[in-house]
Amino acid sequence: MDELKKQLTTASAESRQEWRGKLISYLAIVIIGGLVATILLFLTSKGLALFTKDGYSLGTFLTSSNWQPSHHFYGALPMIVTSFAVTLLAGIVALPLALVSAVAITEMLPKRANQWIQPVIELLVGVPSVVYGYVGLTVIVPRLGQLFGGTGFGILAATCVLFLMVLPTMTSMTIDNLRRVPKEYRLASAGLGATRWQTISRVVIPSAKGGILTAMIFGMARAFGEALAVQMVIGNAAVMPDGLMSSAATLTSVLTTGIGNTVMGTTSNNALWSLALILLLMSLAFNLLLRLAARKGEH
Amino acid sequence: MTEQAALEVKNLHVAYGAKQVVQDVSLKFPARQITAMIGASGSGKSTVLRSLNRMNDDLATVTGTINFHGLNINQPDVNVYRVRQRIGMVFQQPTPFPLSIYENVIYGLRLAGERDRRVLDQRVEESLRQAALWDEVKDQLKASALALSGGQQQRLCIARTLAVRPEIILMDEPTSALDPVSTSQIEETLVQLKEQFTIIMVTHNMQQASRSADWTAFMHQGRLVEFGPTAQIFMNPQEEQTADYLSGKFG
Repeated sequence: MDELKKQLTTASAESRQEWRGKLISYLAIVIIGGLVATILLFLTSKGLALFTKDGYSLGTFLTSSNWQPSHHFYGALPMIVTSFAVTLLAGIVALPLALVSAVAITEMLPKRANQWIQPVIELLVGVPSVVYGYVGLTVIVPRLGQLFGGTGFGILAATCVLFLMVLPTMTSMTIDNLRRVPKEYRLASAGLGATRWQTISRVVIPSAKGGILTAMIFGMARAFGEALAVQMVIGNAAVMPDGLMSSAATLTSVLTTGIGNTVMGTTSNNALWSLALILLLMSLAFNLLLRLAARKGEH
Repeated sequence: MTEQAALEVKNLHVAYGAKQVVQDVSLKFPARQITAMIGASGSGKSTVLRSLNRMNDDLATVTGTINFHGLNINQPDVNVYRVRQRIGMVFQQPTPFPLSIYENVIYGLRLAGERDRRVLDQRVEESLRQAALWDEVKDQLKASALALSGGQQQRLCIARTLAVRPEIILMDEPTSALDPVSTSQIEETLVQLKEQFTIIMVTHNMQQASRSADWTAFMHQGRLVEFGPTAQIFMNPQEEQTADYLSGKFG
């Protein structure tokens, strides 16, 4: 009796293994959580230094369009506007195209074509952004210059490059979401007398709308955070853009061009950190949107 | 056969690629009756069923004639979408769309271009009553159809098919994914429905065929072995294969 009691109440090799596994898992979570918290804290304190330490006005930072670090003018509005402009423009153009190509690939093309098209699209997703930037620089910028005059560098060039970059991402994710729509929906719809187009527009796309929305936001988040490819074609003039062909600068492109030219702790360096903080906040906002879109998709 | 035929199949052959799965099936489905199609898996009964409203168009080669009101609907120039409005289909898995109950029922009507709210409202109530679902869902028509139980979902799918007012309803094992209680509810519904509709049902469930069908067709290896009144097929089959199948010697 006592023997059994002892056996049942003392730790064994298995229970110790369980305990060790738990410990390692929790430790990993703590490390990741700690890293995220550190980054957030560091960026926040650095990003706010411009306002707290250097006494620069937050209102001026957000609303002025005069960005001249050498003269201590830190108006970030042009970059904020440009970042949103290129992201939205690229997204608006890419959205219908991604949707239509995904529909064509999943609903119309024969299975055999599918087998190689999706791997190709996924390959495009993985192409490094510098390659897209290079294509933009050597192909798109000169063409735009010929077409519209000027150098060709600017918002439109950046939009084109971002469009090329996010299209495969959006298409590939949309394909996955359309595939996830049960085959039975398509059959049931056809059984009620629906044409293929009616089935696609009334059942397939509506039931995948949460996922499609997620794909769009994901693509736009990628566009918003892209630095290198944009910096190569946008012209890097930190001024308020007045048209599609005007040179401009995004939050990311100012960061990549400026961060090496400033000294840590100076006001102009702190101003760049403030831009980075805005970027971080925007990424958080995109993430939140993604969560909301995904939840909407669950019904 | 004295009954009037709702659908008449003559010399139906179906092939998936080079593989013949249905050979020379000829039969008349009596109007306003329930016909059960029984047979082992792979006997071709579902394939025949799906050919009747041209659901096999993209999958298989279907030859032979399918006469519906004197017209052969198995011809290239027939509008398959219109055919499917007259000859509806309910599938094995309940597949309500991720829409509200109301929107599910009127789906087929919307496709056909019906916009009049009064017609839609009226048709929703009528179809849900016919499918014996009205009392359970009348207060939650705007709720998602996905929240219903499996049996309710299948009755919703039946209502969705009825809303288009077809003449013939094809059912591909409509209760095989359901529990016994839901199954008997659906069987009761079917008996009510045959007053207005012709029902052709594929089933693996022998009791179901004997309980609810007026006529039974037994298929084996792509051929129609025997067709007749259900009582005759079950009590006094004329073919040895039918007797063997019903007594469980193969299947």
